[in-house]
Amino acid sequence: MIKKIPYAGHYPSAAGALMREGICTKPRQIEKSFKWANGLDIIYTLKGLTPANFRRYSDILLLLAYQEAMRYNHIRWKFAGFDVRLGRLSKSKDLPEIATFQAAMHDEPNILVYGPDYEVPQRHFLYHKVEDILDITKRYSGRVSKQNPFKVLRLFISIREPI
Amino acid sequence: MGIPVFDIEAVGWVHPIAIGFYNGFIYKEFIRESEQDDVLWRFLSYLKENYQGIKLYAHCASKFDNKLVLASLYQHGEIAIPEAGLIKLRWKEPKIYFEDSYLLLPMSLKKINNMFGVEEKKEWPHGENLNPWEMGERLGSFREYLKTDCLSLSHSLDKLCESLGFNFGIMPSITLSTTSVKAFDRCFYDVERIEANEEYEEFIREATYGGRNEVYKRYGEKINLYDVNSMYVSCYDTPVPIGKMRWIKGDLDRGTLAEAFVKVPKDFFIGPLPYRSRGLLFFPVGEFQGWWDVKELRYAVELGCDVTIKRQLCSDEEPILEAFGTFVTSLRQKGYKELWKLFGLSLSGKFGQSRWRDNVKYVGDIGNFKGYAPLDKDELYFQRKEYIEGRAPYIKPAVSMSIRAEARVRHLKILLEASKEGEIFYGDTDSVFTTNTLPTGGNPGELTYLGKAERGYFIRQKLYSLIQDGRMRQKSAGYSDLKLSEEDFKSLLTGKNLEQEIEELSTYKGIFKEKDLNLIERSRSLKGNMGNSRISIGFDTEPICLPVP
Repeated sequence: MIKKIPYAGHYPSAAGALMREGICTKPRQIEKSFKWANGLDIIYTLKGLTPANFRRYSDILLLLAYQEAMRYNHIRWKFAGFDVRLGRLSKSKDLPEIATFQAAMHDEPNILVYGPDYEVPQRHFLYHKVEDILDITKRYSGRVSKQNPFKVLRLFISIREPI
Repeated sequence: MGIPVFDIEAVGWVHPIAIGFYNGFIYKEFIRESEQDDVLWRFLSYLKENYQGIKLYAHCASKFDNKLVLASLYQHGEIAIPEAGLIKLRWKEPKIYFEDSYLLLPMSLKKINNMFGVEEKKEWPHGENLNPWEMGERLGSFREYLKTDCLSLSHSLDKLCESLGFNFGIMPSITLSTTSVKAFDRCFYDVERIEANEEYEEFIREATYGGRNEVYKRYGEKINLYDVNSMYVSCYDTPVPIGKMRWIKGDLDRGTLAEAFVKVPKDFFIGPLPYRSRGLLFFPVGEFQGWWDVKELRYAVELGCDVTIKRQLCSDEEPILEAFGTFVTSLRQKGYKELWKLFGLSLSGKFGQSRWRDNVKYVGDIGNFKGYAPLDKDELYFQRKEYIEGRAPYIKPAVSMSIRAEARVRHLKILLEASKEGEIFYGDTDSVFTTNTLPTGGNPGELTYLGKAERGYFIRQKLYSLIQDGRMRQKSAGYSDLKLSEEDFKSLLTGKNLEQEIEELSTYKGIFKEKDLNLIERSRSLKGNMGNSRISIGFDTEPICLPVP
């Protein structure tokens, strides 16, 4: 099992800022066990993250993901993502109610969130996922409500230590 | 003798009731005997026990059979890895490969059987959704239907192998396009000698556009229908870029592709150059900038456009596809017309293949997890989007760009010819519907006359109907299962939408996520508006003018 690092009332600065704004609640740290690894998922439940608010707070959310991944930087693998409730129209039942926009695994928190300093063709870093979420209205044009196209529900940061 | 095949029959799409399996010599069937009988797992267990290392095909497997197999294997804790979508499904431990024959023979099984002259496909009313024990006396016909499907596919694939072996000395690869490029490489031109020009690929891809597909007039009467014989293959006589790209000074008389600023006269009825915006392809007039193949720019200038080159790339060019095109055309004349048509066409498409791949791996097969993301809650399967750098011998996008540009230029010449003395209604890649009478011929690149339509309703790209000899012919890409009436088309023409409920099987990612194969209901809307390729004014249309104010 991965040993949980308690917050002891000291949350990452980005979490503090979001909590003060009423955007997120205190995080939960959930231990997990997989065939290949021991795991820990840190979950921030988000509030009021409509498209406009998500755009406004996206930089702080990215910073939060980075800060949380850094807390467990001694553990090899990390990935992160957002759960998003899509404002599906009645004719778009094929779209999932909750869509996950998940960055790929990396061992360096900075790259996991912001990508490397040089150009790569991949679009699997967390900042790309933020772009994808903000693009929902265009990508699912006519399939999600114009009024409430999406709401970002959760930020999760997953830590994995191979067995 | 035949190729090993299988076929799954299901009720309600997701509940298998029978599996036919032909190993090339012996046919065996597995029929569901009761509600509790997991007939698919029975079949898979039989394969595991008796046919380790086998490769077997099903027609349209990636859309149906392989989904059921994947769901069953996943539920039984077996390791199965989808490759190239679900074109291939690899059952890891017994090394059994389930492949999709549709990618080798992209047409209906009925058509395939007729083409190869094997067993004729039988009919079975799938909509009745009967379990075998509910079929009564009709169980015999059902079993015969299943058996014929298996045997005919196997024998057709065998004929395909025979024909490819005889003509090119090769066996089929995973898809017809890969097979086609393999034949080209082996018998006509060493593809390694074609420069990939990967460092210029960004510009080459920018200059690569699809075929022209436009509605010029939304309703018409007494329309002549024409189609170009083997449009793409007929363009194989054009020189294509094979050498190393280099930057040159802007010069329309030479060079391969260029970034240019163009002014297309606003009174042009047909825009000569393709343009992409937000994923949409259209042919505008006005002023805009982009990358194009130089031959397309040259023709635009001939027509009266003003072109200012910003930067230009040049490469040595040779008509290396010509001999292949001529040979495939000669094969078409001897038989298996549909097969060789697709075989010829798919060569240039293969050269333009994307370098991105979805790579799915089982957790035990991953050494370094960097870039992987879990697909399922148990984190047994991971996915990574991979960019294939260098090691893709068949990816030569400049060749594909060049053929497509040549095809668009030739198509445009036909459209302009047709519009000289008559009206044009619709054009799609290699077709023109017009009131004009055009010269025809039997050679590649010449027009074939497909008859006269009494009336034609052209709603939008790839959605139209033609009334010929009192009967309605419908084209509705993506809605092939939807039967519309002339009244429906009249209604669409007035801008009304038609709503339809459909059911779809979940994707392989959905199977991993839900641990099951589900039937997903969705609605789709057949829109009566013109779409975004041109602007409609009543029944008439005009090109989009850039920049949009």
